[in-house]
Amino acid sequence: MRPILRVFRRAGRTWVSVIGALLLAASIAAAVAGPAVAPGSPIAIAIPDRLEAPNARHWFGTDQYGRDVLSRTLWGGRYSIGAAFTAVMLGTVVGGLLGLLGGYHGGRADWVIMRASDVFLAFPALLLAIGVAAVLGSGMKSIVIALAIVYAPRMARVMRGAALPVRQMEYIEAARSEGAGAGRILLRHVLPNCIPALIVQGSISFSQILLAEAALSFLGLGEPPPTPTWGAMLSEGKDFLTTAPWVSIFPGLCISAAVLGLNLVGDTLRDVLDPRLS
Amino acid sequence: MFAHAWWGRRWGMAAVAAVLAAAMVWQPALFAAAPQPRVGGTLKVALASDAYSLDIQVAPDYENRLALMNVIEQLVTLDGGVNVSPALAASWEIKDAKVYTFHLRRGVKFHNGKEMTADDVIYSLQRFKDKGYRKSDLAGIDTMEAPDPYTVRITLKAPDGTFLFSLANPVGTVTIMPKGLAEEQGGTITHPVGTGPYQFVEWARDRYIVLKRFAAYKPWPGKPSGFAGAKVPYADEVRFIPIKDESVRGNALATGDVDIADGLGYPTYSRLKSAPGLKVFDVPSFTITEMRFGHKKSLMANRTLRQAVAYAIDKKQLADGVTYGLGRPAPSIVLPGSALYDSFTSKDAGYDPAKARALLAQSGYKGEVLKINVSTSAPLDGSAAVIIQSMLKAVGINAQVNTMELAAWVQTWLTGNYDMFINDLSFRPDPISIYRPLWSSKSTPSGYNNPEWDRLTSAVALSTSLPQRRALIDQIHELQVSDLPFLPLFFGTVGQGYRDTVHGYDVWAAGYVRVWNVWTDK
Repeated sequence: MRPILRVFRRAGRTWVSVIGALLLAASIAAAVAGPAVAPGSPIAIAIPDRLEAPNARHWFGTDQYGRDVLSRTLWGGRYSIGAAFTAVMLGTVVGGLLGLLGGYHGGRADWVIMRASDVFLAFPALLLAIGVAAVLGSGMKSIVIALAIVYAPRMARVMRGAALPVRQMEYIEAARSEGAGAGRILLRHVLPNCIPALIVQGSISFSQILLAEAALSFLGLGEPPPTPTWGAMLSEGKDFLTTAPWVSIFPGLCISAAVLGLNLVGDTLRDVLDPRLS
Repeated sequence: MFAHAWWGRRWGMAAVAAVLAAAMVWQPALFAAAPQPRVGGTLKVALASDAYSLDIQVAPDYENRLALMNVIEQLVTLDGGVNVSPALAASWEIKDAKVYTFHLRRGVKFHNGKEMTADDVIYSLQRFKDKGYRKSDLAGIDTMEAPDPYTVRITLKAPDGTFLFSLANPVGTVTIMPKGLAEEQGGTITHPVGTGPYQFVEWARDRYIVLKRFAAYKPWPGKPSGFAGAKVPYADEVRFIPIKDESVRGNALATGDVDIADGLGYPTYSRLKSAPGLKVFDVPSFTITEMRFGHKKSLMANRTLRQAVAYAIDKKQLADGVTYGLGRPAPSIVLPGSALYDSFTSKDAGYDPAKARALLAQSGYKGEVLKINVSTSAPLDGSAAVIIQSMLKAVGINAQVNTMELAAWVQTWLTGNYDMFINDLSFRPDPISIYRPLWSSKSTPSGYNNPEWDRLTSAVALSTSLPQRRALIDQIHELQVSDLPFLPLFFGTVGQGYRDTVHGYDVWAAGYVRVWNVWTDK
């Protein structure tokens, strides 16, 4: 049986992982297809219709400008999940490569990379992200970069840990004795053996990054209004929490669902992929 | 004016009973039933933003005035109905609208213990004329003399019927300070010294401004009204605390962390209006929310584009959307009810999206991003920006809302490097005190340069007859509507609240937080 199928089979054994996968699939589907199925424009203003409770025309109600909360939530998923995903990918590539390099080479390069990531890890993650985003100016781009900067050192750590034992394996020695270059050995022999660590770390961090993205948007560091992101919608809705709770509850529920789904899937993947736990 | 109960809830019934009894017997008994003011205690006031600078002759932000109008006093000031009233000058004579002789109050002490005399007044006016925010308003001063320590005679180069208004205008405040104060502090005032009922103690940026009771303050005669009349400091200490987030600010009031809160929008008002232990108000104000155009480096220097923007904005819907039906569209900055308001200044270009699209096509606009700067300190402006952005989008203008901290927002405004920004014009006594200093080619940071505008606004200042001034204001209004140095949007609201442990507090349509005659039983 192919290894990937074995992973799915083992993961499918617990109901927790199934729920996680369903939540995650729903979130991703919403982010990908949401804008296409959204009933209206996420930014069209209709003052006379403002703060309507959920009804047949507006399933999630309307906000203080009469905008359709359902459409905004669907569009918000694309922005929020998209930003978190991009940040994770960016952090994985940068942090992963650096960690791999450090772990494989050892010596001075390793020392420099690890001390640099120690410096970044010494800051509280959210504070560092706020600092970076504040320097870069508000906008989705700076949020993505800020989150990638926060996340990359964590990934570097994990990849280095995974690469260290691999570099002493006989097959690496064999490859080296056959004259393979460092780049080839790294990408063809070391990296594939570190992939499980990368997947587990990636999926677990994804949820944290998504939450951090919501926090930064909530604080007003994200895309300027009227662009809907879940965090910004929560922030806009908080003034109406007691009088029109639907404005903030729906994006809030979406954040919770996506984060829960990611956490459950991440946990499952770790259980399945980590040989020490099986 | 918005009169409301100035006694606490538990005194309410007693007072009502007293009124009923007194109505039959003897009217003045009403005052006997009111609680006695208590001296002492601390008042905490939540503001929407911290001050930008404490030099209020130079820096015109509203937040510094909120605290400092309790500290400083002017030569003449405004009462509740926006009329010029005596302040440090107890009286004055005017000859031919050209020679103004002010008779100062005697025995007025500065917070540093020195007596206020004519030298201090001349020094303060001279400093404002040199570097004040509205220095063009005092540019007409020819000479200032002090025949004796309690008299100041000012001779203007030409007659100016608006001179008293220029002195009384609280925005860009012509404060009276001890002679030499600015030089002692290195040119910029960082520790204001005035003659007001409260004296400045300390400013910790973004944390608090602390004032304390000025024990040597002697209240002026007359009923308190606006900034005028008898002012009595009761609280020992007043702390102005910036709380930037509106709902957090509202909660601070609801939980009693602060005693008075400014800058509450409709959402907070509707949430807290029936909360126990506090009173909140959201009332129509004299404040006009306006949009300013950058005429310096921006595409908005193009008049056709400005006109397209103006036609694209539905002011009625905007006013409704932002103020929840309380505010009204503002065709002009002339206040309805003022002597200068007439059928002409109430006319507006109107909302016409088709015309906006046509003008846009003519203007050569190619979809460039135009930024609308808005400060986080003004709760109404953020919503206005979102609604305007959507209205502009509807006709094909690619506008973006750019939310900024107050300090950064003031910075871009003063450098003139912006496309558009939304601003609350806190009320001014006379429209000319907005028209002239803000868009004259000499003093404006916006870069607006229109000789016709300069000519008309100086002509108004020279004129002392009402019909003539009205005719000139009409012409300025016409120019404002067609050439659009700026665009008045709507009359906003004043949202403030206070705990019922606070007595004597008065919510004024002009805004401001006046802590004199206010006491707390905490």
